[in-house]
This record gives sequence, C-alpha cells and structure tokens, in this order.
Amino acid sequence: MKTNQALIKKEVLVLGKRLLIPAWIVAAVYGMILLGLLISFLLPSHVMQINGESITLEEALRESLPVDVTGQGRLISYLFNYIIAIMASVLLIGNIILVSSNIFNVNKRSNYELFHRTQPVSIWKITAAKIAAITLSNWVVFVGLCIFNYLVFNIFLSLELRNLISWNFWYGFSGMLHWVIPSLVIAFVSTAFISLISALFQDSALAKAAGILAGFQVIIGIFNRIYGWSLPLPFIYLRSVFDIGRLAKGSSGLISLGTDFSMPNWSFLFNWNTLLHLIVAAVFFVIATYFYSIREIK
Amino acid sequence: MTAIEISRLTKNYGKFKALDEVNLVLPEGRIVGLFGKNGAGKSTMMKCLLGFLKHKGEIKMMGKTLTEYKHNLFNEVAFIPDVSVIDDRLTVQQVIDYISNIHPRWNHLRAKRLQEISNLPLKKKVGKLSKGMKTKLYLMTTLSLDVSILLLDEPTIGLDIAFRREFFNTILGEFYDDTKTILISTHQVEEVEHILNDIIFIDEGRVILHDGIEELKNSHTIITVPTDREGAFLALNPRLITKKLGAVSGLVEKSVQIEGAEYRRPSLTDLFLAKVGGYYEN
Repeated sequence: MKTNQALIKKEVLVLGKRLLIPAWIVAAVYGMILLGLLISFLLPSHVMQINGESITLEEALRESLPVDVTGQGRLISYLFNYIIAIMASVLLIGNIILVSSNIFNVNKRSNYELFHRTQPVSIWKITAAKIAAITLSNWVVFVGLCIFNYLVFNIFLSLELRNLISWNFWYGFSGMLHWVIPSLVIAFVSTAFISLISALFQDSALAKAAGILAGFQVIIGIFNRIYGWSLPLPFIYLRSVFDIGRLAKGSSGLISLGTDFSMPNWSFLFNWNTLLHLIVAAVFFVIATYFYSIREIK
Repeated sequence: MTAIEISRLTKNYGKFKALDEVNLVLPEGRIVGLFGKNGAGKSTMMKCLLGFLKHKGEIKMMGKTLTEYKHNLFNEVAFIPDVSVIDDRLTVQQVIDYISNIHPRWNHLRAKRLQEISNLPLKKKVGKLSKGMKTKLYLMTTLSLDVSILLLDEPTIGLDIAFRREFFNTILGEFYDDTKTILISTHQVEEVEHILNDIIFIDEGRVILHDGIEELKNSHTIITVPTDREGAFLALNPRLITKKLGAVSGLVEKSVQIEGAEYRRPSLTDLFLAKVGGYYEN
C-alpha cells in the first residue's frame, strides 16, 4: 500500500502543472465572460417606456420570460448543465491525450527510466500507478471544474432567469451527473488506450498510431467496397468505444421529454456496455504493460 | 559465496560485438575495479548484469540465474549509472521520500548521516541542481540502501575533486562491509586504486585481465635504465616504454633484474596502459 501510494504520488508530482491545463482554459473563458459583463455594465442601458414606466432592456427581457408552471424549467436546467458538462469533458479527454501520449517515453528520453527501473517495484505496479495517477488526477480536476461551473451558472441563472428556471438546482445537478459519470468511465478507457499507443511507439506515438489506423481504415474500406464485405473500420470502432454520449444515453434514450429529470436513471451505467468498456480498458492496460516490459533499457 | 558469476556473456548491437564471451566470477565482499577504454563494453556489461539488455550466455547474481529483467533483483542490487537519471521534476526531498517508501532496504539511519554529509538543498527541484549535485543526490540515495551488490558506472562524474576523494575514502566506507560486493567502473583510476581488492581490464568486449590488485602490482615492476643500455632492456620485451632525459623505462615481470637499473612499483594506470595500451583518460 505504501509503495502504491508513493508511486501514484510521484506520478502526480511529475505530471504537475500539466494536470491543470483544463482549469486554466476554463479560467480564461470565465475571464472573457467577466470582461463582457464588465463592458456591458459600463455601457449605457437602453431604456424603454412601457405603460409610462421606464424600464431597461435587460429588465424587460427578464420580465418577459414565461413563468415556469409546466416544469419546462427543469428540462432547461437539466439540459443546460448537461451541455456545460459536455464542454468540460472535451477538455478532460484532450488533457488525457496530452499527458498520456508520453507516459512511457518521457522517462526513456530523459534517462529517468534507469532510475525507476532500478527500484524493486513490479512493472505492473509502475504501469498501474501511471494510469491511475493520470486517470484519478484528471477526474479530480474535471469533477472540480464541473462542480464549479454548476455552482456559478446555476446561481447566476437562478438570479437572472428566476421566472423560468427558478431554483431547479437538483435537476441541474442531475443533468451534470448524467454526463460527468460516463465521462469518467471514458476517461479511464482513453488513458489506457493512449498509454498503449505510448508503449507501442517510442517516438511521435500519436502520429504513428493515427497513421497506421488510417492505413487500415483505407485498406479495409477498399476491401469492403470491392468484395462487398462489412469488416469493421478502425475509426468507426474507436468512435464507438470513446463515445461518451452513447454511454450516457444507454439503450433507453434517456434524454427525452417526459423523462423524470430529478435523478438520472443509473441503470444506463450498470450494464454490459459499461462493463465492456472496463474490460477493453483492462486489455489495453495489459498489452501496454507487456510492450513496456519487453523494451531494452539502454 | 559468489556474488556475480558470468559465463560466456555475449552482447551484439547489430554487427557490433559489445561483449564477446565474457567469463567472470566475483566473490562476495570484494571491491572490484572495472577498467577499459571508452566503448570497451563496461556499461554494456553492467546493464546486462541488471537484466536491462537481452544477451547470450549466463549470468548469476547471488546464486540466482538472471535471464531477463526482474524487479526483485533490485532488493539485492543497486546501480549508479554514468548519466543523470533522477527525475528533474521532483524536489530533493520528494526523491528521498519516494525511494524510502518504495525500497524495502532503505536504511534510515545511514540515509540521515549521508544527508548531513551531502548538505543537499531539500526543497530545490532536481532540475535546478548542478550536475555534481545531481550525482551527489543519487550517490546518497543509493548508498542508503542495504543491498548486497553495488554497481557503479562512472559514479563521480561531475563531482569536484574534494567530494570525489570524500566519496571514495569515507562515504563508500559507510556502505561497505565484508558481505557486500562493489563493482566500480571509472576513469578516475588513481582515486580508486587504494580501495580496490581486484581489477578487471576489458577491451573490445573481452576480459583481458582479472586479478587481485596487490598480486598484480607485486608481480610487475617499472624499470628505468640509461639509454646506453636500451638494447639490452628492449630485448626483455618490456611494455609501456617511455623515454626521457637519457633514460628509458618500461614495465616488466618482477623477476627481471638489470644491473644499475632503478625499480619502481607500478601504479594501476601503468598496469592498465601496459595491458590495454593506447590513450587512457585520468
């Protein structure tokens, strides 16, 4: 346990600031939003006369929103938070690709490999610690960002669109969770997959993997066309593995009108599809570790 | 007990034969110097001993046959390579904490003593340390391990002369006892020769000499004769011939006697140059 903790801690320490790249991007977006708000605050408001009363455009818009009597505010709140989580998950997967693509190669290029491989630690533990550190630390950053976004936007919306949205915090939270949790599963699968690419190719790993997959895509596509076969295409298969939406939606098509949004239907997560994703990640991990272990250390 | 046993060890890099049928037996409790020119095969041999490189032949470490990389080996063996290998992104303290947590042979008392000697800045990132300080850190952490075999490949690169002396004279003594085996490869021949029990000369991937250092020094001598006796001297087929100021000298068997000659005990550098020949850094 002590060894595992030390290994994961070391991996998180060496990843360092790169783990916070999504947070910096989100901070930049917030900065731009604040700047926009500041500019709009400084500009004179357009004042209108309605029934003899002076009213600003913003107030008029706010008052014109329909009152949430049919429950549509729940759906809006749910979908709004769902979409915000989708945007955050793009950053999550992007950052995982960034930090995982070198997972087995940066140490080799810098001679750190000699240091780590001269310790009495199983290579399985080393690989597991790398994948766990990347997955867990990205999860923490992602969930933290999602909760922050959730709080900021829901407080802001509830104040600004109070007639429509009212205080539908729970429905918003449910919408956020609905995307966040499948994203965590896909983040794990992505880390394992990119790690496998890193173990297979020691230089320009992503470019080489993309080139080989594209080659297979073209060749299989040609054979399918000529002979009328329907062999699976690599990119189509990978898309199905990394499709968060598919995992979030499950087989029941959860996001539809008339759904009870008070809580996601968790059955979408606990099914064969999710289990298959986890098995695929485990297979990626085993193959990555094998290829990493047979490398010569020069 | 035998610490390291190598039989017919061969390593090829493509067509280049880095090690050629090397046979060696190193008993426990010896400090052994491994010397050779650049590219002679010293580092390759050490990396084979650690299971880092695929090879032909047999290696036994502490009686156990090593056919490939096995992490358990490092419960008994520690290695200091000739390049900086500690992760630049960690601080000195984080490196110490990391090794002390993952290595079951970490000796806290010795580590504390060595930290005091080294006076390393604990909060500084390794990447901000000088080359010498990085070497010092790795020496300190490695010597804090209670392992049976220590492989040192140019361990003092980048260190100033004062610390190099301290390392070979004092710090290594903190680690060594007669149950431990140390194999040192270095070009700083004069600085290590007083601590060595045995020496190995390696050239073009072959071991050309493996002997006790005292036995070797005692069986040879450096003879200096006036140039007018050069003919008789050269007839003895001496090695390492040097001429200066009306005299000629060379290395010969101890049994050789020449009237009027001066005799001097050879240094390790003399023996190396005589056996291996050519340029040698020191």
